[in-house]
Amino acid sequence: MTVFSQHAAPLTSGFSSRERRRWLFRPACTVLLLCLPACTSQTLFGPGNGYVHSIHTPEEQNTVYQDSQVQPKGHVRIHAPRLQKSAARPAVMTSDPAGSPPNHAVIPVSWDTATTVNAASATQFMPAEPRLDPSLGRLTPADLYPDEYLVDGGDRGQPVHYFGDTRQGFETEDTIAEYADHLGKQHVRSSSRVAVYAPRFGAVRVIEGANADIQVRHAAQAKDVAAVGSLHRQDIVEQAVRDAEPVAVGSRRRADGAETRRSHLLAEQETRPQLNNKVDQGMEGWANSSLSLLERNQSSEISHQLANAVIWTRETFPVLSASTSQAGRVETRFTAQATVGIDDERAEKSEIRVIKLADRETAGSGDIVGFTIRFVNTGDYDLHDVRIVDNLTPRLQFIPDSAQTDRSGEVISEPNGEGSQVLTFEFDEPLRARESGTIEFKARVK
Amino acid sequence: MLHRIIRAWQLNSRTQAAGLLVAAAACTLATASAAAQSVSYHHPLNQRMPPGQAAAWLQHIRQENSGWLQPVQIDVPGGADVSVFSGSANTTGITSAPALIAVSPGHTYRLRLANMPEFPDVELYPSLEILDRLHPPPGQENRFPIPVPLTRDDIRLALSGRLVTRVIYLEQPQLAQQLDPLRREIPQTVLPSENALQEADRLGRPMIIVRLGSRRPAAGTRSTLFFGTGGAAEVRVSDSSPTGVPKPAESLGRLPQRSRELRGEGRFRLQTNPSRNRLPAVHRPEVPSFTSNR
Repeated sequence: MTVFSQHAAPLTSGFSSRERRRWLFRPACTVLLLCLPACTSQTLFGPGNGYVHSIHTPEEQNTVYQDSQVQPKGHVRIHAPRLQKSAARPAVMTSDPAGSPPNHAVIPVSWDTATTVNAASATQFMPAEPRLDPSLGRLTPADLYPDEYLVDGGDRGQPVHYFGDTRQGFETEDTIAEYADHLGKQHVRSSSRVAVYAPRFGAVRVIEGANADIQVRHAAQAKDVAAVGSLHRQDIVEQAVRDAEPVAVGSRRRADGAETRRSHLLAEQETRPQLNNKVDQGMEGWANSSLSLLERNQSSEISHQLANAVIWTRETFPVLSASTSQAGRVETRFTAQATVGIDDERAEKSEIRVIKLADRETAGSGDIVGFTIRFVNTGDYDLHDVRIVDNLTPRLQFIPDSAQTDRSGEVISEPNGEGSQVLTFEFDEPLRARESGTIEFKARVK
Repeated sequence: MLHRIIRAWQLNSRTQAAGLLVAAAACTLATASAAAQSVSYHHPLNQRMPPGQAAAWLQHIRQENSGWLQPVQIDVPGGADVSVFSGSANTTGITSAPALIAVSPGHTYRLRLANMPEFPDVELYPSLEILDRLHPPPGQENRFPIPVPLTRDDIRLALSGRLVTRVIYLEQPQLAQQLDPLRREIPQTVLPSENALQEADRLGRPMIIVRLGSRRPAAGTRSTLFFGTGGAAEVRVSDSSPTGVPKPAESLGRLPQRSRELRGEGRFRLQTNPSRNRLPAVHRPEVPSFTSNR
């Protein structure tokens, strides 16, 4: 959006600074107010309202607005790109059902002035779209409804990465291959995903008393503990002691003559609690309290402060400064050395491609699913320290001694903290160029 | 901030006042946005709504389950005669538990449970509110019904005058529990004041609301809502044992043995099979396209 305010400068040339700011501020506010609706509409106000607005086609979005007509002073031009036509037309009521909208109507975002709108179509019900449209791409049922499938493989969620020697982003379901190339650089590749249809269900139960509510009534009665509370409050023993006290015990306290005096500078405060008597006598008692006058006198002293101004004298002497730069001469000679080497024709860089498969399409609780992991070196260099790491999804239980491979190595099974295991397949020998390997193992569906 | 705006306005410095006003509005918006982010979602549906309302809302939103009949499996301990009750004295479509009945998502059904050997002379009329459906591979719909288990405890509570509501949900695989949540000995229970539907939504996808009480239809019951919302129902016969229902050993809900080896943990030597040293040597049944790599 481009805003032109070419008429603003001559208008403000002869004003004071405050008025200039006001003149600059008012068009700026106008532009600010017009910007938001201009983004969502093509016409803000009809012609003749004083505000002129240009409509541009998408092809004109990058062109500068040029208009030979003389515009009134103080007006601004707003170059708003024409919005694309939206497929879903909102329900908009207009006063002209059969024709184009009136000039004073505020047009919503998805409005297209090239087409007409009638009230019938505007109020037509538009059903909600399904959760995912399969026609959008090659979406499998496992992509559409992943909660019905057991998915293993790939790199779910945060991508696998390394912070120092710590592997991070390795969530359940992830299967990766770690290896070092011929230069010793470490790499990681994720496998393909395999999905087995195996929904599992749970239930949340609520127990309510429908009408009699027997359970709640019992609970309330037990919680009330009316009998015990009543006994505790009666407290016959304590009551007997109290009855005995007034007969023989009496106390008299008298606090008078106490005087507190504090003085701080010229502020003085006197507090004299006098005639403060309290007599406790058995069945009757009374207390008299009175305070004497509270006096407080404050007076402020005149504070004098003298400030002597000290005259500072500073003299600056120009000092001559001289520096000498000594440029040295550097000579460099490059001598071409004879280099003898062998061109490596193995141009293709080595990578590992990991494919994971399952031998079942569907499974239920207790079923055993066999998984196959195929990995192949697609390049011309050997790969070293190859490890296939599989973080099983929580509903899979690895079956020991079920792992097989055509390469020598070992498998390490560790709990992953989610109820299943992390399987690490390590191999004794590097994966030669264009070679492949296969791992098979079985897991039980929980 | 406010007194500065007023002061600037009084001094006739509209520019400064407007600038301060914009700054204050920006701060307010930022604060409101931050506050809005900290507020959790409001869950408009709960189990205390009238039966059928939650299913109708979800059906209206999704618009995709109208022609689908979702099999559900009614499981009553000790067995029972299960039928879709419509108020008629001559009930048709009686089947024995575990009963496989296909119902329409978005509708509510009234079932009739009778002839329960463990509860003689007892008839129960639970209601099923079908919220959502499954999407199994074609031809295997009956192998993956939505299980509706009614336990002895549920029936005893219902006969004592209480209303037992179960929100059955499809478990989120990434949040899967160690044991089968539907068959655990101590069911997941929330207080009546809490939203069971929200809790089920937190754990997975709510599928069915089951309401089990001891109310029996009187002779003059005319309320059509009591008998459901008129959705289609079909009694089916399972051609094989449903896969979604756990095996009996799993249904006991016992913890797996704690032996580390039995749990499949440790270091094992890979069994090398030299005859399978090349990829083409692996013979596996053809895997359907949606289970292979993308």
